Amino acid sequence: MDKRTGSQVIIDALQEAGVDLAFGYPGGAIMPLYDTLLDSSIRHILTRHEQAAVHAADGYSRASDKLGVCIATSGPGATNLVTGICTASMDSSRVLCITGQVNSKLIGTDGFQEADIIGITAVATKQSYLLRTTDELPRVLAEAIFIASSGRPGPVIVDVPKDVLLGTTDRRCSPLTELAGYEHAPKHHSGDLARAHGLLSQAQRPVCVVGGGCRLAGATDLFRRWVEKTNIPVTNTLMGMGACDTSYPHQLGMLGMHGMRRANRAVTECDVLVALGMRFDDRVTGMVSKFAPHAKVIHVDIDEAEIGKIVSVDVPIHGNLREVMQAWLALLDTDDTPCRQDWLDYLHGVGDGLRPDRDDASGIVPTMLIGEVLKLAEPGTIVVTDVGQQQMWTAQRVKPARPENFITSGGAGTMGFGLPSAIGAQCARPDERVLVIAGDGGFQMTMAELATVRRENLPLKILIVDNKYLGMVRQWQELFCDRRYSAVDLSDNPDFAALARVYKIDAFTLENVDAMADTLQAWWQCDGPALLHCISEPEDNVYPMVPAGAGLSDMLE
Amino acid sequence: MKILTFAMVLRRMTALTKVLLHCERLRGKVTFVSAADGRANIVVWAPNHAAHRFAPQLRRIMDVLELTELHAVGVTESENSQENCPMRHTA
Repeated sequence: MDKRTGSQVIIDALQEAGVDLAFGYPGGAIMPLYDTLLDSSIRHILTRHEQAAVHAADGYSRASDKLGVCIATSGPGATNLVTGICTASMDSSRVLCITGQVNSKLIGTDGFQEADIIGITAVATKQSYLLRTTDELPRVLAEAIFIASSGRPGPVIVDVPKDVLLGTTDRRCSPLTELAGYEHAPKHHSGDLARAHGLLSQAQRPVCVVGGGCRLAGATDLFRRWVEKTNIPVTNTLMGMGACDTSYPHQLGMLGMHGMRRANRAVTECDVLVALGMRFDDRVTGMVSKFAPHAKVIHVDIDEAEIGKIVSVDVPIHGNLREVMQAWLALLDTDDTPCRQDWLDYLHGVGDGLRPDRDDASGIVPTMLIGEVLKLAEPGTIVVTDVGQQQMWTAQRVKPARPENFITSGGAGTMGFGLPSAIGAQCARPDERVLVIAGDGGFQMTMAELATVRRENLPLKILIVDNKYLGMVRQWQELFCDRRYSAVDLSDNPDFAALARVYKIDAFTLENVDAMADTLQAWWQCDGPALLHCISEPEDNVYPMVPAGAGLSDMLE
Repeated sequence: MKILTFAMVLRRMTALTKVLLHCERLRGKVTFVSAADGRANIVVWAPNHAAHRFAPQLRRIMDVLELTELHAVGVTESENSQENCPMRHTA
């Protein structure tokens, strides 16, 4: 059998796994892989920072449900991935990071651009590997790809010394479907499901909370059928946006800290809570003792460690949500659809708790702006947010057609995630519109990626809601620190439109309400990438809001 | 507090570092470790409110092939100190 270099083995393995795109940034230790990449069919997107490469791979994966791949060199190249790895880990993204490492003989000598990236990321990755020989490479890559993509997905890092990339082997990579000791496809217990079904059948005031696990399991269509059959009101976590058909009359919207009043009320007053592919994050539960205090809890999750971690569960169902939905639907086939009209009418009567857009402001009210921008978006538009107030304002108003159409950093809350992950999403789905909504703070963390947008001519529509503050921190300082604003002032922000033009990207500035309609249309109709810099009212807050540590029933509105 | 005792089989012995770091993250105090040839036994003093999280989260570590929780022992407040831990000097 022909000898293949380590670099060729990596490319072979990626191609075998269906990878046709990778994001990255080259450097000394990873040069052999970049040399081999030239002769492959894999397209490489050069980002302007390694953090952006991993966010882009993450965004690519979230938009496509395929493996996102990023490549970086040793030392600072690798350490720049850390935030992106944590982001992918918290939101269970299928991301494979390949990093170069110094030559094997130099490892441990504090060699030039040496960093112990495996040690640094050990607890943030689902799995990590430091290669010793080229012969190990085929097996390790097969494991890495399998682990990143299966079970509860998560980031995997493969750290490859330069001599391993240059070395040769006659071994080949064979895709894995099993790995000893790794329960990637747990089979739910039919008795547990029967108990859950019985509990839900008897419920008078049930509610379902759906999370990101629905998309990850590929269970969206089955979930929607299950919702119709059970006639259950549905609320979603931030990661579960789009799981429920937005036209479905029982859709309550997002719950939690900035959730809808009716969603939080439903959880507080329900008698049965069905949690599907979600993990009871503290932003979702508020004070745990006040979370669903009257409810029997059914929790379905592929990760056994999530069941009972935060909230006591009456019926645990450890399994793949797609299979659980299939089995549950089979049980429902013989049942009549229950009528829960009184409960639904009551919840709809509670309302969403959103404040009407202010009409007393002289400037642009961000909620109104975001509302108008979302009206421009076609049903298939992929909406990507950064992190902060604009993220929550968007989540409260957006109606994504599918969960793959809303991309945001949920668990980690990574500022700077928006633009690079939108690059990944646009690469994954080039024929669909991608809208990025970012704040002035988060945008400045990764704005060098405008160069990537221009280079690849990605037709992103970028909205910067510029309130001259780190808005969410300012909001907390206003509400909980007696308006003692500390380190949140961004009044000297640059002219973002001028900046975009330097990158040869069409750009617009919006400063007054009268110009809003025309400016939005002009921006949205641009063929290529276009940036809209909107100067908004500085001190608008996100409401409703549950203060940290309070119960969901204690909302500030 | 609860005293948790785990026996585990590891794919790679380096996974033990992940196990120990994760115990710390869950606010446990590791008081005893013995490990050889792909096997490890550990004793952890765990806060009551988090004790139930240890086994499933340690089992989730990819290189933990098997994990058995041997027994959990409740500890009263008066016994709740490192000085009273019988394993302290053997850890």
